[in-house]
Amino acid sequence: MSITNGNKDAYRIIVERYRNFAYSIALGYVANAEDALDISQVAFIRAYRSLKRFDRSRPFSPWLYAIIRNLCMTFLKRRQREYESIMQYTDHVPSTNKREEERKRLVLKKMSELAEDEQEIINLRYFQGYSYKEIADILKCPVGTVMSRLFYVKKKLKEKMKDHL
Amino acid sequence: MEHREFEELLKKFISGDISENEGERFREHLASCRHCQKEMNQYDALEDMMKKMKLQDPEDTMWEGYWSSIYNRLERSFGWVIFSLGAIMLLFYGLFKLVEQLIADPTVAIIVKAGILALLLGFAVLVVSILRQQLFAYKKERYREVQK
Repeated sequence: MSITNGNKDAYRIIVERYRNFAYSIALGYVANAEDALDISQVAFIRAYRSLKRFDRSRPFSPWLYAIIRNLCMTFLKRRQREYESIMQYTDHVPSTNKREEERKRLVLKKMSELAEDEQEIINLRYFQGYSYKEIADILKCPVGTVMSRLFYVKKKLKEKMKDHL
Repeated sequence: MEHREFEELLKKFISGDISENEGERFREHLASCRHCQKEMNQYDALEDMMKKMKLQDPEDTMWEGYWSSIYNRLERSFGWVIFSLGAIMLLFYGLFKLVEQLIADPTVAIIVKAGILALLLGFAVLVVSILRQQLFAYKKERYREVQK
């Protein structure tokens, strides 16, 4: 597929189908709308250049996810993540309960203290809302491993939050 | 039930991967153990809080110019490739002409000529080696973008 021979429309369809996915994955990592938008665009450019190497018998989204993840990891190495900024992008039910708001803020703070792979699995499960099977496909590991990892991350998070739960 | 066993069942229960028999034992224990009840309540509270935290869907206005930006960047990168190719070709041609003149120049010492030739030969070997390695990696690695 070449952008110069008229097939750009075909790629445009792919971009429009997956742009929301790409943006929200990037946002989950970088916690900034502008950066996430830019990273998602760069990911589509990289994917386009690598299309010849893409195995068409496999689904597109895990492949795109891997590209976005790499871009985000490189980005985060250059910039320290600001844990609270993700709060403004979360679509939680607004609460009049000040204590609950504080607890949510605290969860996000504690999440930011987790290791990158731990944050990643929480992001996929809760922010992106993926099923265990979808996470297993994305991370290329068995469903049981996803369940186990998620449980231990939650356990860790619960320990960090135990005085506030 | 020991705490270790409870934790194993708790993991299965939270993941929704618990058998009927295990579920029964788990609930029985939970009903009689205040410590485990407290722990379970903490997990529930955490789960409840985290389930409410979904990322917002972006506004439609955000997608204005999204595709055109990708297209322009792709087009520009294509331009850069052609530009770089031209620059490399001219550079090599210039170098070739320069070396040709130096070799043909009778005033230049033999040792300098030999040095230049050795330098060029070494450079050529390095370039071929790197290109061969890149080509090998390109052929072998289908998912170069995927982090191992």
